[in-house]
Amino acid sequence: MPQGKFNVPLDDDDDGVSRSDANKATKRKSVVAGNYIRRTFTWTPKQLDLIDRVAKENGFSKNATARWLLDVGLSSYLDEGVRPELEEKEVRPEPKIKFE
Amino acid sequence: MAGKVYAVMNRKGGVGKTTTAVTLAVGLARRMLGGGNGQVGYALVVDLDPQGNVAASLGVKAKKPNIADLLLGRAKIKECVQGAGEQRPNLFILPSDDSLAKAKMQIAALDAAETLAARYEGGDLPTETRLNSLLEDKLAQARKFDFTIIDCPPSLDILAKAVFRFSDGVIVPVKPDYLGAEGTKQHTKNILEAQSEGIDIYANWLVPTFYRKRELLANQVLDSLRNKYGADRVAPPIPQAVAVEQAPASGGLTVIEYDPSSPASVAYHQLVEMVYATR
Repeated sequence: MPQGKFNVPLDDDDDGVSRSDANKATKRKSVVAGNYIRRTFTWTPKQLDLIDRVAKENGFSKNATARWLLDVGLSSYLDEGVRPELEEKEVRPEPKIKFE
Repeated sequence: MAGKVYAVMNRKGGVGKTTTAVTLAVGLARRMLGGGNGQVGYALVVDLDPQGNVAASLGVKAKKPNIADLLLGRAKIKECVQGAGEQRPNLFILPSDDSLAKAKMQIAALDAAETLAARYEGGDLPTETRLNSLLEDKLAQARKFDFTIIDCPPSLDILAKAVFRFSDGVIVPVKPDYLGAEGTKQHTKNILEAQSEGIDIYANWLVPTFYRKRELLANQVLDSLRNKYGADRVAPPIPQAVAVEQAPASGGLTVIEYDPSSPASVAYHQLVEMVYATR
């Protein structure tokens, strides 16, 4: 388990409380026709440009394109075992502040 | 317009239910004091916990008759409600004490006897017992208050359905740790079960309590709550603060009265605004 990552019961949908259950319990409506949930992520400008390009080339909406590209990535991860390359970054030491 | 009723509940003990219930009630009462149109709003805290901590938390000496007498039909609500102190002119409490535990047993026995009698008279078992509508019957007058906040014990047992039926919504204080997350799952299932029985009840807000912002697990649980339930259903976390513990010991104050500048006070004020917006 990566350091700093804990098991949180809420993260597992298999134990009987799915996001849909949570929505029902809190009377929270999904944003688009009950099928999708709005979530905000940050992207690089280059990624956004490429999503726009793929959408344009295929005549899809940007949302549909982004969802499809995510599916492709998820499929690579889950079905083909593709894993991210890790980048090592030098961490600059910082003094621990006692009096804040 | 009928007032709003919110139940503060969680099956886990020690998560800050009473603190949240009384602080929220005080905050709402203050919010409604001297409203823009000159009208004052009123708030009521109902203590459904036999420990009777609501009155103690507010520095009020609980009088009799109380909620136990009300539920047993020995007194009317008007006789049981009392003020929450001179400094809180528009806040009232319906206190509790140990007699509620005995009252619940009597109520359960009475309900079982009525159910049995119905069966022996040849009818079907009633799908709805009087128990389920007990609070709707006995606390109907509470709707005259703009807000009624019910402080629930960890184990509601026979009164669970009655609370769900009477309340407009549920506020769930949650400690952002492993067991807190586990408890939230169970609580969600309880609400879904009540909904499947036709009870119109929802968890309006989850309120992370005892939050320590430098703790990795706490932040992870907070993220999980937001991911699962939606950021709009998770209130700003209430930081763990000494002021929260000291407040009731300082003449029965809530943290927003004791130390208004405390981060915990700021967070509770945000919760007050979220609840007040439903008025």
